[in-house]
Amino acid sequence: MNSLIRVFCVVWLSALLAACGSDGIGPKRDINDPTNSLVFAYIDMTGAPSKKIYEASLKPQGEEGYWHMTVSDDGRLLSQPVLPPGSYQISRLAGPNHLYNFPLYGRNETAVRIQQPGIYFLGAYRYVRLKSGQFDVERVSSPSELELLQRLQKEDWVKGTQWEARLRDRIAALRGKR
Amino acid sequence: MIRVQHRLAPLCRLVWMGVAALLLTACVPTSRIQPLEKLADLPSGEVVLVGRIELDPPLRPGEQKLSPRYAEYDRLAMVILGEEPRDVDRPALGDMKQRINATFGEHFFVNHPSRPFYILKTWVVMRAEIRVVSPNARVDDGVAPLQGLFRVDVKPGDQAVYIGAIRYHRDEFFGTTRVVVRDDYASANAEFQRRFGRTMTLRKSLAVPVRP
Repeated sequence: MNSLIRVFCVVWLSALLAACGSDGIGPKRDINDPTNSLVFAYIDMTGAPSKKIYEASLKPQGEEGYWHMTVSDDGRLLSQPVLPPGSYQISRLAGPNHLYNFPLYGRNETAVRIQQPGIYFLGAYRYVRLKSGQFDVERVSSPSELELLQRLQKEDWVKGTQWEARLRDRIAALRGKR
Repeated sequence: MIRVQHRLAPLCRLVWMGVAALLLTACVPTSRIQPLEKLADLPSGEVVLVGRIELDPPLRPGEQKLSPRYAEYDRLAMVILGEEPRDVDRPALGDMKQRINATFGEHFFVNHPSRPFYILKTWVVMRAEIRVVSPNARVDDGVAPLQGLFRVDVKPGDQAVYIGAIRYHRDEFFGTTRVVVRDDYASANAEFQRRFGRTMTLRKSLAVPVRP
């Protein structure tokens, strides 16, 4: 009887943890929904305890939960292609053994307000250690938005979706500005 | 500023969440700056500080996630004071000993040593609850900063000083977009006299922004 109770407790606790563990909001939207926005950023973690990002999350303002981002194989290019209008900023990065939490309250450099569907570049950054011994991300000029869009075009999740055309259009627009 | 944390085993993490919530709130030290109910409670050599903290837009119902045990933080601004200007990156326990607990939108009447001081930063407790979470859930500070450094002049001989109504404007990220110090002396002085009578003069010395 005791062992039965123990098994029940383990199952119950596992179910509780699983239920609490899912803080992700998306993607529940169709990737080809025309109201989607694509948000992307680049973060070089070479100077961090974890050299690569495994997971990244966007925090929607005024809502519970997070939108998880797709991370490229090199662990630097982060993207999320099914965002509805709203305000977001990168909230957490995760490596194999470390979590990097941006303050949950207060605007950070990656903040974006999406009012119209589109493609939004949050910037390119590198991880830096401050004199105080604390850490931050610092904006860098390279790689450029154009270079990163070209990289995104080659990502597997883009193929066969609306993002092939929308990325192509955005790249053409940026080239036209040069 | 990013906070780096090691990934923890599930059990450690459950414990940590509880500890973090307790550290944040239960262990916040008592401030030496206390509300004044009557002038007889004013320590010798100190003045009565009068002012008000406002937030625009105000906190929405349910925006703060406070369990009943932490209800004291409801609509509360913790205003950190110091003798010298400096950055207060995170709410350290030492800083909390020099704080005004100000309910948003209401005048505060507190004691303070009779010397000039700085308002270093203001914090709002947004989340204080003990939760069961998964191993990968994030552990947050749960406090929102309101930015703005101010100097307040207190002169020898002052008995009571009015510092103004400090209104913090915020965006949807809880970023401070603007801070305005408004002179609402007439209303503050009327309340001051209702509470403490007319034996003491409330001198106006509005908080002066040192940098945006």
